[in-house]
Amino acid sequence: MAPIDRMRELLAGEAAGERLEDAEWLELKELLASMPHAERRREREEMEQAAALAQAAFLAGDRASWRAIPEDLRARLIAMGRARAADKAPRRPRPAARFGWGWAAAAAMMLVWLATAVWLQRPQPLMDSEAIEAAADSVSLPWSSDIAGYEQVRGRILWSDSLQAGEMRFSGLPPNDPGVAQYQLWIVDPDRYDNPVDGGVFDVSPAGESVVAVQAKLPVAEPAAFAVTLEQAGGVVVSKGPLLLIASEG
Amino acid sequence: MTDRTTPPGTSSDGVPDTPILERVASGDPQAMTDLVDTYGDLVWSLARRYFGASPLAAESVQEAFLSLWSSAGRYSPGRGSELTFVLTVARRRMVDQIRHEARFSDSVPLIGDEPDPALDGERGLAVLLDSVRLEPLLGDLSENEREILSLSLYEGYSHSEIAKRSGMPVGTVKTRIRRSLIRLRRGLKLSQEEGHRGSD
Repeated sequence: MAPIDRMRELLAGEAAGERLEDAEWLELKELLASMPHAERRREREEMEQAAALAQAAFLAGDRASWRAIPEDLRARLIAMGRARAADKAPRRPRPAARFGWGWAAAAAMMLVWLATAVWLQRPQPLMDSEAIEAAADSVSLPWSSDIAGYEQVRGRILWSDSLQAGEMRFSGLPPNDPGVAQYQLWIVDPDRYDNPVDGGVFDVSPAGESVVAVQAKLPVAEPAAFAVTLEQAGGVVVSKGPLLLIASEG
Repeated sequence: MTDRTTPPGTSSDGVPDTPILERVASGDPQAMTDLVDTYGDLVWSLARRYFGASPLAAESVQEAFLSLWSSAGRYSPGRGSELTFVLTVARRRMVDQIRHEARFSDSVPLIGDEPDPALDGERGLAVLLDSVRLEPLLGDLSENEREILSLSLYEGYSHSEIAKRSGMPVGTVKTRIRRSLIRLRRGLKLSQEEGHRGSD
């Protein structure tokens, strides 16, 4: 089978809602990586559109299943939409006090790893920076720290809700020994989850800038903050901190 | 029930005159209402078919609209109709919801437990769905392929459930769904190209 046909077969599985096996997922990632960004985005979009249009076509032929949206849900959606529009900024600003270092101190002892069996150990699509930056809802937040040995760290985290993908960049982050300790990212999405969401463990080598993909274990929306801790190899379920790095709008 | 047959920003036949998503992206408050009134019944009907009477239906609709508000700026008429964009985003959120909940088996429609009324076919939904002209393409699939695709894409059944219902191995189900979707995508692309040629 030609690589393009195999890629479309895997994209079709993905668009149909199938959970690709890890080997297939890695294969798809490699096949997509061999194409220019615009082309792979088009391939994925076209397959998703075919699936969505087919879903609607089945509904078109099934009039008994046509439903009116409940009034309470309609009213709630409109209220949410209008509140969003009233907020001039594209994203709702978070109160600084809530997610600044005050939040960090309060949360330092309570980072509880959130994940489901479905998302657990699931590699997420690796998007390149360009794709994430191009998303209308992408945010880019700088890292900051007041922990000794980490004040010098520079870099940013880039995140897009619509893509559910992100990328972290660091320079000056002390290298870790992967067999002993690993860095772990936490994503704070207080509107959806009581506890921070595990954003994946990662390693930092001594050489230059590190670029790490975010591996959110649950879908997140409008994260209020991101935090990095150093944990035992493999990461932890409950972190005692400290929060070495913070990136937030506050 | 509120009469939303011709929401603001749409013509009398219910089809949007100008892309609502462009107005949503610019922060027009009325566009938020228009978006819900134009596509709410459609997205809700799809979610109800997918999730039945489960609260996941409302959750996925809410997620879909949140996502539409966030991604409205990415909509480009050159890359497909507004309807296609809305359907694609809504489907993405439904699939996310399914993956999140990991319970295809619980998403089987709960016929008989449907608190919301059936919709009068003369309303805007009929106009919207009439524009989804996939019948010729679906007609190219065999009856068996169409049924499997419907169970998967429209009803939200897992491959193993479809295999159980059809008596086919899971691998065969998976292959048929993938290949049917590839054929649909190819057919759509061809018809779009023909459409472009026709308008030249």
